[in-house]
Amino acid sequence: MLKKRFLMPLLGTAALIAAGVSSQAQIERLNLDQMVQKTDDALYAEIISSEVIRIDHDTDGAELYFTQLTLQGESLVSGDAATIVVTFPGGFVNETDGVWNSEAPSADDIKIGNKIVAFYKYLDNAGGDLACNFLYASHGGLYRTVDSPAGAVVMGRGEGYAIQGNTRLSELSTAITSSSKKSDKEEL
Amino acid sequence: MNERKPDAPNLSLRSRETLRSAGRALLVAMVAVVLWSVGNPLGWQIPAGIDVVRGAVPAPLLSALWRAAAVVFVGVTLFDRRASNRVGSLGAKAIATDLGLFALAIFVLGLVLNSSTLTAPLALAASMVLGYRLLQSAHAEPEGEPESPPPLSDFPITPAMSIGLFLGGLGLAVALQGLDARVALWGYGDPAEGVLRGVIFLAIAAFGAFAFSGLLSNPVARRLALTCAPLYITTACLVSLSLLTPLTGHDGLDAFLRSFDADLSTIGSPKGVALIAARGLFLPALAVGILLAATGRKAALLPLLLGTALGIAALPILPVDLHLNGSHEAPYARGMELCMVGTIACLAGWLSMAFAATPEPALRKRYMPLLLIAPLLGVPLGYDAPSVRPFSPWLSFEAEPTFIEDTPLGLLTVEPTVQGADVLTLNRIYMTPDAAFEQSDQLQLRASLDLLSKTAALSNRTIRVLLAGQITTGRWETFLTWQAEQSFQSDLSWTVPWERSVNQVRPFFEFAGKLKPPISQRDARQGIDRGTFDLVVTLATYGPGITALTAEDPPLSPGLIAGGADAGGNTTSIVWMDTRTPIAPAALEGNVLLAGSDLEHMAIGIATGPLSMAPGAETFALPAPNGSSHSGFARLQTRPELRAFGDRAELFARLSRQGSAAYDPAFLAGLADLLALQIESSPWTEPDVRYELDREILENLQEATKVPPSGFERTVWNHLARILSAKRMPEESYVICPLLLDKSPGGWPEIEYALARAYLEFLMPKDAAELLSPLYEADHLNLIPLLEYAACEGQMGNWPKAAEVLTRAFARAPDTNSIERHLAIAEMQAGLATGPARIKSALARDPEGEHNPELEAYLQSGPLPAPPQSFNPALLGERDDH
Repeated sequence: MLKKRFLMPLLGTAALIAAGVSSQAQIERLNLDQMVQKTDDALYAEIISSEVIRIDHDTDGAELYFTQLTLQGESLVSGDAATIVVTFPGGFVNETDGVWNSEAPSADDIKIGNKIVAFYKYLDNAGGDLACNFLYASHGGLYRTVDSPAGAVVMGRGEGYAIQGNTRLSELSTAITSSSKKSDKEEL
Repeated sequence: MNERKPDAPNLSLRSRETLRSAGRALLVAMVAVVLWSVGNPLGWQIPAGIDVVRGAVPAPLLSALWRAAAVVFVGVTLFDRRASNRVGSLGAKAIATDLGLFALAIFVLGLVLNSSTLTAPLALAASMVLGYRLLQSAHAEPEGEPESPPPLSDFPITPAMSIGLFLGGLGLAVALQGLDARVALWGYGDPAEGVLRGVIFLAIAAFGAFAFSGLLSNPVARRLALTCAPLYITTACLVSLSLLTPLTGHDGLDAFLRSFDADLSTIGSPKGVALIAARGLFLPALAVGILLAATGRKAALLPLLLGTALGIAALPILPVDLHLNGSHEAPYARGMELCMVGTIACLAGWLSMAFAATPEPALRKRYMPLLLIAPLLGVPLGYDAPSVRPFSPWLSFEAEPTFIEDTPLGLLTVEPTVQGADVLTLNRIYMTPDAAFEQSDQLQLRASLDLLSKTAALSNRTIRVLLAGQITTGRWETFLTWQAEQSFQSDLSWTVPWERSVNQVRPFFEFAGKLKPPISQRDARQGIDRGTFDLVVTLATYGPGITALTAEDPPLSPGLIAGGADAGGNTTSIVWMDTRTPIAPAALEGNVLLAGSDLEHMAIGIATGPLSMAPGAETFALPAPNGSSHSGFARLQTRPELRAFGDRAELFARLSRQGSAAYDPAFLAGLADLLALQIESSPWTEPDVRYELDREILENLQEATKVPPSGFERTVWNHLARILSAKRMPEESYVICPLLLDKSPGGWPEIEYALARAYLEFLMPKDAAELLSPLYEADHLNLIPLLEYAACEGQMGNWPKAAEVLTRAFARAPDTNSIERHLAIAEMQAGLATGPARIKSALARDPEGEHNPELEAYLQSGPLPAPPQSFNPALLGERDDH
């Protein structure tokens, strides 16, 4: 991560090294099945609020910033309505205090009112003893949706991401449900 | 020697004197600051020599004369008649107080208030009245005054000492201005930086006067301080240069800033300016404080400040008309030469006085050797001034100039930028465009020339154009292209202030022997005065580079207000500036042109002269200023790369109050709203993705767009369309683009592509292909759009067409594995005979490729694998890794 006050231009990898956060913050190359297996749920939801918190921790360090998005929607695994707070590293509490995170979703991705698909996993400690529903694979776990004339479309991010190409929401929902059932069977 | 013995001190009278002096100093400072500001109505300083034309923005010489007048005013009015009547002088503490008050006045008036307040008519009138009263009281006999306090012991100022002080003031003014100009290179050229440096300088001088006040109570010490001032001030400047040298490197500057809990981002901020100024100006300021504390009375202060004023006024003409030794040395070195002369004069004057006042021959003999060696004291001062050449060391991209010249104009370099192109810089300002601004630069010149062709009467004579700036191949070819389109003859001349270096600079920007040499600045001015030129053009400058969070493409600050306007007579002048230049509150007049390749590279031209408002000219009168500007201190506290957001939005808000047929006021207002939206973005996003867009504003802009759209509107929408695609906003494109296309019956490729891209995002390949096909046939598509179009045709099952399109793409990028892979798949799906060989070639090119199993499946017997059906936003296989 890169502190705003320290404006040494750094490459994204160097910023990650300086971040010292858990490996979940880095972008894993996953397909959809792998993403479903590794996460607790996938939501199709609207972002209804956003907040940035700061944690000063004795062990993990001072000035740990996390963005918390409140998502209201439904689970693509179970179909149940859900309101979940999903967290990822980075963000600013005010104009000057915070960090940019090269792996975080973009500002366009997390605008209030956006409808997104988000994959998350519960962590006991995401850093600084923060227990939360952690956005899996940072921006690789969040996908914007758009309303096309033929229905909602989930915008993919390219090769190596769980959702590579743009996909109709209905098809994605089917794929996630199917993948989740396959995953449950394998566990049994 | 004529010295008076001190009487018993009267402390309460001395305290009252100090207070009275302080009050007077504050009033004098206020008037002086206003006088100084008259020479800088915009706060921006045109560098010497760039001002081929004169006009609304005062030429450097006129600005310098106003600043010199401010200094003279201080010298004449700081001490009133009562102070002058005293045989003795004000104490050093009183001088220290005065200096502190000057620093305070400059801080309040120069940084807290905005520049337009100082030059407002009311402020000017009040200052004139106050200044007149101060002048009167400086010469009027005090009435009914109580008995003056006992004077301090002091010595007469002899004519020789006066001459010495005058020369010393001249020298140190030139030297300090030169040193300050060098210290300024660790900044972004914002006028508030210079004001803050001035405040710091005076505050340190006040400290120096106060710290040495005890010592300076001794008349011998005061005499030494006066006569040896040029010596120790020169030494202080030399040491300062040595202190600055480590800061010319990236690591040295970073280490210095970190030692004060700062970093490279503080360059250009109040803390950064203060730290660099303290480093570079501390010793000279201390020395000046000691010198001023030693004056204490008008007889000593006035010649010193008169010399200083002459040094300020002479600096603009020094590079051109005064060549002390014919070298290219920087002004601080030139000033130190003058300081040496001042030292010698002072010492000679003092020693002459001492010699003449000594009656005893034996004692005279002791002074004789001193008189002989006094001139030799100047010799060791021979400056091998340390070379201080900061090449924007706060940037991670370290410039490696291929040409460096330390000229009296400033630091002249030719260096490659991060994009690889060579640029000419003067004091870190780009005098020629780098790759990102090349197109905008040519569009500015073209728009200027088009003003001629739209408005110039056809005649048998040759139309003469003068470019006030460095010629480049791009600028010359732009002129030639325009010239070929005209029915009249035309000629381009060019002129630059770095005349003595131009022959070394030219090979970097021209093909040898292709272009004619420049004309001299003198010939250019004479030609303008005679009306030889029909048009004079000064193109926008940029820089220096700003530390920002993105390492790949550091933004540039908006550069200079280069040149004045109003060439006078029959000559039309156009001065171009980047739209990020903070001229919204400026009292500029003229007619407006806009030109640029997109919103980020948009320039405003201020045109004056007969052609600027002639029929056919697509200009409009620049509306009155927006009102008061932000204070200098507020600007410094805003990060440099963020200042541009507000400056540009305010400029367009100003322009929107007028507008013209070519520049619709409602469109300009919408643009102002859009620019006002812009905020800081993540450093890892692409430039277009950093733009904030709002649907309502886009819709307002669309409604304000004419039928058919003007050239300016097309430029703006081309960029916005690109942004919509880059930010993946298909919903907005889907709504806005069809309406724009309805307004442009002849087609609009950029908007058509943006709409096609929206259809792709919506998984509507047929609709996308209908738009992309004619663009493909007309060869309007770049590489990525070609791949997208091929993908559309493939999704519709038209594989032969997809293969044809991919073949064109592969021809453009034959080293791209992913394109060959897509082409191989398309050829196989189309049943082309070349398919299998292409598959094998793709496999052989990348034996470890992660897509090889997919390709190998095509070589197996049986039905072909199912092709991809969705829209892939990264067709070249790049990851969205930010």
